[in-house]
Amino acid sequence: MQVNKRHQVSPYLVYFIVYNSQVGVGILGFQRTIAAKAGYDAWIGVIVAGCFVQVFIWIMYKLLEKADGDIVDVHSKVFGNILGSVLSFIIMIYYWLASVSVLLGFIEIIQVWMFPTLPSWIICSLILGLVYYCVSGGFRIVVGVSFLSFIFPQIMLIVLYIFPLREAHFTNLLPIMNHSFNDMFDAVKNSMYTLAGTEALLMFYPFIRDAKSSKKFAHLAVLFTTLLYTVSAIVSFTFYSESQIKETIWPELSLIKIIRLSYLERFEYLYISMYLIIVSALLALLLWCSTRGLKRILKKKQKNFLIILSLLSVVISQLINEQFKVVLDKYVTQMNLWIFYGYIPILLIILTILRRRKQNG
Amino acid sequence: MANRTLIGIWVTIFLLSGCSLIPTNIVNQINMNQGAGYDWAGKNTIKGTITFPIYKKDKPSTTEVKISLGETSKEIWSNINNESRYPLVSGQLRVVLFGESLAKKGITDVVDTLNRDPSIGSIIQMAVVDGDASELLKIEKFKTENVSLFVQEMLDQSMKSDNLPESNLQTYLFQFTQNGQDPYLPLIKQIEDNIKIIGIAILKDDRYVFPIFMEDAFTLKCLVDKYKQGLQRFTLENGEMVVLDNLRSKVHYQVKINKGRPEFTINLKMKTRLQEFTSPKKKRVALDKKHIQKEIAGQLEKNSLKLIKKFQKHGVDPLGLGAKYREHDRSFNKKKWKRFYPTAKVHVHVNVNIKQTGTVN
Repeated sequence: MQVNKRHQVSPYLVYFIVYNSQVGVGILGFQRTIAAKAGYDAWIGVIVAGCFVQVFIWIMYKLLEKADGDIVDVHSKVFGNILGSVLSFIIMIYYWLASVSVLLGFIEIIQVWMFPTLPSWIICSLILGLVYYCVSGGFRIVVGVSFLSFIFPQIMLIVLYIFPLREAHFTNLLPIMNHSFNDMFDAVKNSMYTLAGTEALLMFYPFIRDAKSSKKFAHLAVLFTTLLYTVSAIVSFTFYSESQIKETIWPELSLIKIIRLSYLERFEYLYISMYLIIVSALLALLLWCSTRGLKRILKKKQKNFLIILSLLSVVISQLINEQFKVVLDKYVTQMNLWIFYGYIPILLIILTILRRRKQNG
Repeated sequence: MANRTLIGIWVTIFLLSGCSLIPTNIVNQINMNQGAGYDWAGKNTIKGTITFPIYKKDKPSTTEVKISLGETSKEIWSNINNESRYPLVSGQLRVVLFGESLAKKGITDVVDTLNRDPSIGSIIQMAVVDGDASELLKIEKFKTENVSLFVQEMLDQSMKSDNLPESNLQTYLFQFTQNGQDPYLPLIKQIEDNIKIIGIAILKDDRYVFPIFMEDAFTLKCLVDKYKQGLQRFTLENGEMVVLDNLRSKVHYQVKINKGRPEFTINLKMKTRLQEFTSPKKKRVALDKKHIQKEIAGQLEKNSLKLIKKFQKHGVDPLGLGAKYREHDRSFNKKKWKRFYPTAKVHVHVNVNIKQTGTVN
């Protein structure tokens, strides 16, 4: 499917979109989950997971190049209209569930760290109001917000590592590779989810002008986020002791607690507020992908889906309880692993075989 | 068009009133808790002391000290809240003191609460009081001078430019949770109307066991901190007295495993500056730099070994030798280490370098 040139974006912007899709609330707490089994060797797992994501990017580009469209086109080409629509629908649901999971994570942080008494629906509607405004402006606005979410918080994300590094105990990381293969695999699996998000490419591919040349930017972005996550893991690992990190829910946020400025005693208020930029950009991207797909599958206006999904998110955020949240997170993680690291490569193989047959026949 | 303006105005009103939806704390309608002290009151109860400043128009600020009994620290908190005009908030907490009686029973419960509260920073000072923490906070002289700020700044100053090793909530938590290390905290005492740092409290797990007094603090600080300033007097064999100011010291721990048992070599390199030199001959004698350096190094080695022997005798490990051993042994086992520690061989090599001798030679 061809998209009007007016709606397309330059290839280098893919860097910012991919970066934005990968960095969410995960970076604030993934250090604990990856260290749960693999201990302080887990940072190696992040690098390994980064390599997997690079391969995944390559697979996605191959797949989309062959079909010359988004995942909805791929599905309808391979499976026909009806079955293809059903499969695409599942992926759109994944995008939406992922956005809900990010939103709930952020709401929890706001409630624990800043406003313990504020009801979820107020935070949720304020954020989603902003997101609705972004998404209804079209894909170019979403990209613009992605760009901002890279530039502004990036300075803070990296500069703030200086403070904990002053008290770092680098010998904490020794001895290296002291865990079994299974433990390491667990760390890789958990980092895969924190590094997830690149699958948004499956929807926005047709919106890139001269898409082939954007490949290197996507790979670069993944390289950058992998390094960012590795550095973040190492900073936390050298700052906390191993049993301390296992009971800290948001190691990265707790790092911020050591910063004290004479005019600002509690720095994390600023930090969490700044995180709104990152989170709303990510939500905008995920909701854009989801609604764009639904629009193509069901042939209705994108805005309608956006309103429906946003309202559903608000309702869920208010009604959900702790138990259900754990289940949701688990489902999203599993879906992400199975759909994008199991199903998409198979899809590529099927598509290649079909193409070959067509050429031969 | 008019319709849109109306919507715009409506949204603005909604958002502005949204500010009242979000909970606020007005600065002159809260009591900002700056210092807290905890003592053991017998029968599972803790005596908590909380100080906060009271600001009044056109008058110097005064410090209010409130005392209450309770079984947990937050219960004390709410008891004190019941007798104050404005709600207490903890975002400005600077210093937490533990009375000797409580420190000997264990301070984990209180520290865990401090760590759990997101509004408390992790670089707040903690100290053990030789005596009663509430008595110390109640000193009449400090009614007009803020006692908690006084203690915090005194400790800060001593850690930066004197012989107290660096410690705060984060270092305490790190050392406490680190496998193979025990924490230490500053030890302060009320002497008549004054507050004085008298040494360092060595803790076993979370219980205060014995003090290291100020004359050994210099040696301990050299062994645990990177490079800091601090003065120390040395008396040489021939009666000459030398005061050295540590400019930069670096300590390096080497671990060798000999027949399954760890052996430690501590290499300490110091760059110092000579500040005072007096001779019993009552006349100016030439400085024999090499001789002084060697003799002081010998004294420091002896002193360090004496300290380490003391730690080994009590089974406490503030130097973190266990953690260092763990870095080098993949089959580290806490039980095994506990058996090894009292008899572990430790060698200390000190290298003192007098860089400057002031303006005279």
